[in-house]
Order: sequence, then structure tokens, then C-alpha cells
Amino acid sequence: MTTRWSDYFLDEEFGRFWSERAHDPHVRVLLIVGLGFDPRCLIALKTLTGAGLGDRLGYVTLRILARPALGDAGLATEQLSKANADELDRVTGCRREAVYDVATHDGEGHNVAGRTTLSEMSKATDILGSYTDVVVDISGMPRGVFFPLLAYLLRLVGKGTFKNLHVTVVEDPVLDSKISGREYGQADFLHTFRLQGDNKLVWLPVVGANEGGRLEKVHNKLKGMCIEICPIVPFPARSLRRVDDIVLRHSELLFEGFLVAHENLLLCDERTPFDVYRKILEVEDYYRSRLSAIQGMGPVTTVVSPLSSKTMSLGMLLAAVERSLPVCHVEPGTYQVDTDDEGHLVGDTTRGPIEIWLAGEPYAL
Amino acid sequence: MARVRNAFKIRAADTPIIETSQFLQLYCPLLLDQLQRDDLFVPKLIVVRGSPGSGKSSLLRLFEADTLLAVHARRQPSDHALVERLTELGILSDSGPKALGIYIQCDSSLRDIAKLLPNQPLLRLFNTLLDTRILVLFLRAVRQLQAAGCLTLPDECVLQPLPSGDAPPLLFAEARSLQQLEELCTRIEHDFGSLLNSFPDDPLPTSIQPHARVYSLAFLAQQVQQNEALADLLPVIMLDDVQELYPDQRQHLRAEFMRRASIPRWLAVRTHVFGLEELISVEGAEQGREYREIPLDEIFQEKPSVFGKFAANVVDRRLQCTDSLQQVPIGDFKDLLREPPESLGADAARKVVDSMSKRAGDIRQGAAFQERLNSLRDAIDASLPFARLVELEQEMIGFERHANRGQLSLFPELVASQVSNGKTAEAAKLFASKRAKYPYYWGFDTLTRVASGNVEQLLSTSAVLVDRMIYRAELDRDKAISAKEQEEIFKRCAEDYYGALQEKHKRGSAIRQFVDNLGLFFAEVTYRPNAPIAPGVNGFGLTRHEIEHAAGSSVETREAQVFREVLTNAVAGNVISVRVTKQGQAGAEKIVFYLNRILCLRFHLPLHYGGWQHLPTDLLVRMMKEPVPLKEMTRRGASGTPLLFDDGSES
Repeated sequence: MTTRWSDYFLDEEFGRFWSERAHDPHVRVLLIVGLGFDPRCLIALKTLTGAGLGDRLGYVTLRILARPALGDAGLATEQLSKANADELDRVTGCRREAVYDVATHDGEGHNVAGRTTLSEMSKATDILGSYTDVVVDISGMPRGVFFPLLAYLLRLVGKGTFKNLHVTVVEDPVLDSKISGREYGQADFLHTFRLQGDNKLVWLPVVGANEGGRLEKVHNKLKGMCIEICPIVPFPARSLRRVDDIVLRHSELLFEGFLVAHENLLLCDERTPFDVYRKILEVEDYYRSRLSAIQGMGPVTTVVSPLSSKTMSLGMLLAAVERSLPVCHVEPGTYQVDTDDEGHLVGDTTRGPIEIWLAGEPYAL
Repeated sequence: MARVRNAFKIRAADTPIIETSQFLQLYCPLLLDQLQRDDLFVPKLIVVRGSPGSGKSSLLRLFEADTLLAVHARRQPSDHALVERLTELGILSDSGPKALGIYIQCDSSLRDIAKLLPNQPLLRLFNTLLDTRILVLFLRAVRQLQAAGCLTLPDECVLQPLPSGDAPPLLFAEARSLQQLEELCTRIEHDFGSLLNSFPDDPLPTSIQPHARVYSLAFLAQQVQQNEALADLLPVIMLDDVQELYPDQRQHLRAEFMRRASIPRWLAVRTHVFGLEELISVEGAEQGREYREIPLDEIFQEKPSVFGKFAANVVDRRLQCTDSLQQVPIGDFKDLLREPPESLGADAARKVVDSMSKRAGDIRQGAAFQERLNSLRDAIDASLPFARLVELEQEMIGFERHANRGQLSLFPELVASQVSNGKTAEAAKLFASKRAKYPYYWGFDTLTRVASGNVEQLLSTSAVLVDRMIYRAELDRDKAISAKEQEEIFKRCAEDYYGALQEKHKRGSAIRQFVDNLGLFFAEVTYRPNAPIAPGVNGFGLTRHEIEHAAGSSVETREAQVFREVLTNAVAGNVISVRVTKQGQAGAEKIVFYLNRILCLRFHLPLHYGGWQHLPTDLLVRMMKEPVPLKEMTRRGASGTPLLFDDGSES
């Protein structure tokens, strides 16, 4: 079966890709940046300013306003966010189109990031329409922000508001290991990916290291209707032992707590979102046809949970958009960062952004 | 029923992920004792309040049609107590279920109506969604009863509309067959789903008509009163997790559910400290006639024997579902949790007696006592009974109390130890255990106390003990666990619980900081040599006025926000439990906040309730934000307020 992203466009050399594309004088690029404490959030913008786009480069900032943790942890993230904001002010060679504030939680502590993002971005339709290419840098965005945002932009690109939609991300395991989520709220469906109806569920969580708590929370949310669980683990991965570490770490929870059958584990390449995407669609097809045929079972819905790297999460997003799958997730309430003595959050400086072209010219061929 | 390796680890025991039959096998019916027949047949608003894992949802879900139908169909010997109680309550009869629980979870799909399109009547849309859900669940339950042969409906069973004088919305304004109504409700519910998933500028689906109030209660009441085919049924509207709604939605729901209706309405809400209590203290309503509250935490925490009985039942049921322990009844399980040896070895005993003797000399009280200790030390040949050590420790506390008065005795050898009671004896046991490294936390009683009246916590702690037994059973070894091992296991569980605080709870980092400071402070007060609040302190108390003054809704300082958020989330997450007491200064009501019992293990504190101390609110706020030096926490009258003691203390 042909799917929307059976053939896809992925280039690990983001800078080179845009330098070449900048040769086309009709190309006008708008970057959407999630500005928070994560130092990766400005890498793509800086790279684009050096791509030779000149005044054909603009950007929209989504200023992520997360609840600060109390005490030192909150102070550290506030300082990092401020440093990134100052750094952004110093970036030249591009036009600042708009800055929108995205509060991740409301006064009652409920996560409203997705709804706020779309509400703000709906004001930017004219801006979007004045560019040919929209690039979303998800490096500094929580999933609760970039899942609804990309779904919305895919819809706008489908309507012809602009021509091409790209995503970029900087994956840096060293930096990831220095950022840890805290104060998780309850599991919930992400905005625009809410479960409809009361179908039986097949749950496909991407499982990362140290995600036992979140897995349990999502499971608690879904368990009433869940009839099958297929955890997705990264293999091949940059470290081939990673899959063993993850499965061993969560074995008690998965196999004794959730009663997952060993043969239900799905292995997906962590380096590309399209492997996760393809496998989710295959599993969804399989269960929809097999289980729905069982008398009394009724319709079956596949729910996905992106509890791992952004690249794999992006694959889940694509599958969710294509099949209208619900996405159940738990966002951290606050973050703890492990900064160096000078208050910097330093990762693997050799890592650069990758280019993923999601909609537009290559898919029109 | 399928058995599993360790049934204590099944997280889903109270939900349909496992077969309903397994749910019933695992479900302990003791909570049903909290209900009375009048709750159903003299319909009123019931508010079930409790912390997460206290059994609220399980209680509510028991009344859903598929669960009751499964009970009716099975009627196995193991279900006898459950069937009997359900029959007494009038929920079940020989012909099948009589009550139909309509269970609705208040999650974001209901709450987010408040965040929909601007300029929309959001509370009216909330009514519409609630009406639709109530109705569709009722209709499905009726269909299930009919399919199971428990209900006979005429071929054309028509539900009559509400009288036009009530100005009902379209959903309730026309006579429709069950099928027509279910199809309509399903369509509206689906459209609500689309609306909640909509992008900006998407229009409101045309099928959704705002409702001026919640009409479904009156509609269902009318059907069971007027439609002969449904006359034997009693719908029970049950809303779970009401705390998840926004404040205006909760107030609205309270107003709607307080409106008199001839069908029972149940609301389950998580225990909180601030704000949400409004939902419970229903103004103008008369407790007993119009509403009734079932506080699960209080029932279990204030009546340990009730929870003990409940825990034994739960453990027994799980054992029967656990592969290698199915032949172990609860009595044998308790026996497998071995007592510690009665005596200490000679070397250990001598060391302990030496340290006591040295202390007795230091405080220059009880010279005769010191001499006795020295003789005892010399007489120890093989062992010393632990009970004897506790007696000595008790005497020691008496001398410490005397010394603490600040007056040296002219004839110290004539000083007798202070009068003591059971509480001092318990403190002495705690002190002696610590001094001699002798197990203090062991046995089934400890297991139930450590659960803090919470089923989830009982299961997670039991699961680790059971794992050890399974491991031994599989190796064909004795399954018994020594007291020392039990204590190690309990402490490991406490560490796991403590380690998860930051990630698990909103404001988790501050909660953990608070717990760290409290633990340090409680341990210091508990282990003061004169045991001033025997057997120890594991809670702090505040007056209502202090809470209102420091963090009432009108106080908008940063400190008030920290205090509110941390305390509310700690209580909501069961890290801290709340009790109201009249103890302390005469006539002064205090709100006492106790550490979860499992955290008491981490700081080697006693597991009883009752020992608490007053702490000023500004100090509490500081304890939530940063590590506070012990000296500052224990400084008396830091805020000009004297420390208060549990009135059973012996200082």
C-alpha cells in the first residue's frame, strides 16, 4: 500500500541543503523557532543565516513559557532561557516576523501548550502566506507544541497557504542526558490528537531509557480500553546496546506489570523518523483488519505515545497525522538541567540539524 | 481464572484490561460497607473523597452494567460476600442488576470544553456533552441488560420527551426509540470529539446544541417512573475525578447535581486541602438527607482495624491469583513474615548496655540504675532478651526526663524513673531498635500501616515481599522472610517511593525538599533522649486561621503560592495526609498534616498517628524551598508561636 511518506526526503546536511536551495531566487524561507532554555533552539536559525538567503529569510519565535521549578533548578532554566533570548537578539541577517508567547500550563496547572500554540499561530496566516518554505525547528519545542503545530501546518500547506513544509531537529544524546523532566502531570491526549469514541485500543509507545514513570501514567490512562501493547524500541540505534538497556530497565514494568508479550516488541531505526512511521502504519493495518474481524470486538484504534527521541517522535507524528491516530503523552511540568560551572548547558558540538521535507515539491512529482 | 507470576503487580486489576472475572476475583467488597441502602433508594448526592489509589474508581466501576452482569452470571463461591452485599443494597436481585451505574470520568475531554471557541456558551456546551454522555451510557447499559436476558423490552420501546414546559433541547424534546436516541447521542458525541480536535477557525458542528442545564437527570428519572419496561431500573450517575474540571465547571456541576432529582448522583473527588473542599461542603444542603460524604482516607486511616481487615482480604485474593503462592492462605502469609529473634547476641547486648551506662553517667541521674546496668553487662553470657532492653530504655527515658527539668538531685540514686505508659514503651522500643540495630519494621501489621490506608501502596509494597517468596518457592526453599529482610524490603520500598517524588508529582522537587526537611526535623524531635512526644513525631499541625492567613485565596504573594501549590499537590498525591484534631491547646482545632507512612520508614520514625508538632507557616514555606538547618527548625518560638504538643505526650 502506498502511503503519504512511502518516499521521503531526509538530508543530514541541513546547511548544505539550504545553501543549494537558496540559489533559487523564488525561495523565501520562514523558520519557526521554539525559544526556551534548550541551547539547540538557535542552531538551525544560525545555520540558515549563513545559507545565502539574504532578505528572503524570516523567523517567527514561539517563546515557550514553562512553569519554572522552585529553587535552583528553576533559576538555572530561567537563566538559560534568558541567555537564548539574548543570543537570538544578536542574530542578524534575517527578519523577525513575530514573537508569540506560549504558556505551557494554565493557572490550574493543566497543560494548554498545544491549544495556545495554535491560537497564536492562527494569527500568523498572512506571514506564512508570504513565504514559499516554512521550516519548523522542533529542537527546543515540547511534543505538546510541535505535534499540533505540524498537524496545523500540514493542513495549511494542503490548503495552499504556503508551498513547502520542512522540519529540522538537532539530536544530541549528550545534551539530552543533561536535561531531565520533573513533576510530570497526568497522561493526556495531545491537542488535535484526542481519542474519539470508546473503541478498543492498541497502544504503541516508543520507549526511551528512564521512562518507566511516564509509561505507567499513560498506561493508567489507557488501560481501561487497551487490548494490546506493542512497545517500540530503537534498533538499530547509534549505540547497539541501547535496545538491551531499555528492555532490561523496563522489563518488569512491561512484561509483569503490563503483561506485554515478548513477541510484541517492535524494533525501529532511531536515526530516521520514517522507519517508525512505516512500522506504525503496518501494525495499525494489521490490528485494524485482524481484530475488527473478531465478533463483538468492534472498531479498534491505535494510540501512539512518543516517549523517546524527537526523531522517533516525529515518525509517530507523521503516522498519527496520516491515520488520525490519537497521541497520548505526559509532558514534564518542569525541567532539571545539569549545567557546567559557568552555568552553560553543553552538549556534543559536532551535532548539527537535519533536514526533513514533509510536504511540497518533492511529493508533487 | 488465569493465574500470574505475581498478581500484586497487576496495575490494571480494577479495570477491564483483565477479564471482568479477574477483576471480581481481585475486588475486595469491604468498601461496599460504606454504602447504605438509602443512598440508592432515597436518592441523594454522594461525594466519595480519597487520595489516588484509595479505591474510589474501583468502587464506582463496580456498579457499571458489565461488571454487575458478570457478578450476576458468575455467582461463584468466591463472590459470595460481594453478591450478598450487593443484594442487601438492592443493587442485585435474582433476576439481575437493578442499579445501573453510569460512569463518567472527568478528564480533559470534558474539561477542555472551557477552552473552546471564544464567544461560545461554554458551560451550556458542557451541559450538552454531559447530557449526551449520560444518555448514551444509559442506553448502552440497557442494551447490555436486554442482551443478557435481564431486561425485557417491547419491540418498539419509545422514550418519551420531557414536557415542553421545561423547554428541553432537541435531544430531549422528541419521542424516540432507544436505537434512534443512541444513534443521535453517538453522533453528537462524535461531533464533540471533532470539535475538541479542531483547528482554529473550524466551525461549531451543527448537531451540537447548547443546553441551558443538565437535562439528563430529569429525563432518566422520567423514563424509570413512566416507562413500564424500565420501571425496575435505577440509574446511578457517577462522575469520577471531578477535581480535573475547572473551578467554574465544578461549581456549575455542584449546582446541577444538588438540584433535587429522583436518581442518585455520585461524585468522586481527590482529597485536596484548598478550593476543592468547596465541592464537598455543599452549602445549604443537609448532610444525610440531600447529600452524604464518604471520606475513604479518613475511614481507613482513623480505623486501622478496618483497613487491616480490608488489606488482609486484598492480599488473600491476590495470593490466590499468584502462581506459586495460590496454596498460601492469608494466615500462612502472615506467618511467613517472621518475627525477629527474641534475644540479642552477647556482644551486641554488651555494646548496647555500655552505651546506656555511659549516657546514664553523663546525665548524672540514676546512679543506682547505672550500677544495675554494669552488673547486667557483666552477667550477660549468651544473650539478652530484647524485651529486657526495652525496659531499660524506658527507665532511661524516665531519667532523661528528670534531667531535662534542669535540676540536679541531691540524692540521684534515689531518683525513680518517671511514670510511663504505652506511648513511652513504644518510644523505648523504637530507641532500643535503633540502638541495637534490631528490626522495628516487620510483620503484616507493618505492611498494612505502611500502606497509609491506600490500596495501591499496599499492593506495591506487598509485591516486593511476594517477589521474594516466589523466588524462594521456585528454588524450593523456605518461603519465610526474616524480620531483618522484611525491614530491608520495606526500607527499599520507602527509598523507591521517595526517589519518585520529584518526577511523579506536580511541584515534586519542592515536595521532596519539604519531605527532606520534615524528615530531619521529625527525627530530631522523635529521638530526643527524653522522648518528649512519645513515641515520636511524624506530622505538623496548623490552625485553620493560619492556613487562611498564609495561603487563603485572597493572599497573592509568591510565598502563598508556593505554600498552596506544594501542600495541595502533596496532599492530592498522598505524600501527606490530613486530619482534623482538637488536640493541642485547649479548644483549638488543628489541621494536622502527616507524612505518608512509607516515608516514616525512611527517617526511622514510628508509624502511628497522633504525634505532631506545630510549625509556623513562614518556616514551612522555607522548608519547601531550600534545605533548612536543623537548629532553625527546632528553635522554639521562631515566629513567636510556642510549639504545641500532642496532648498525649509525656514531657
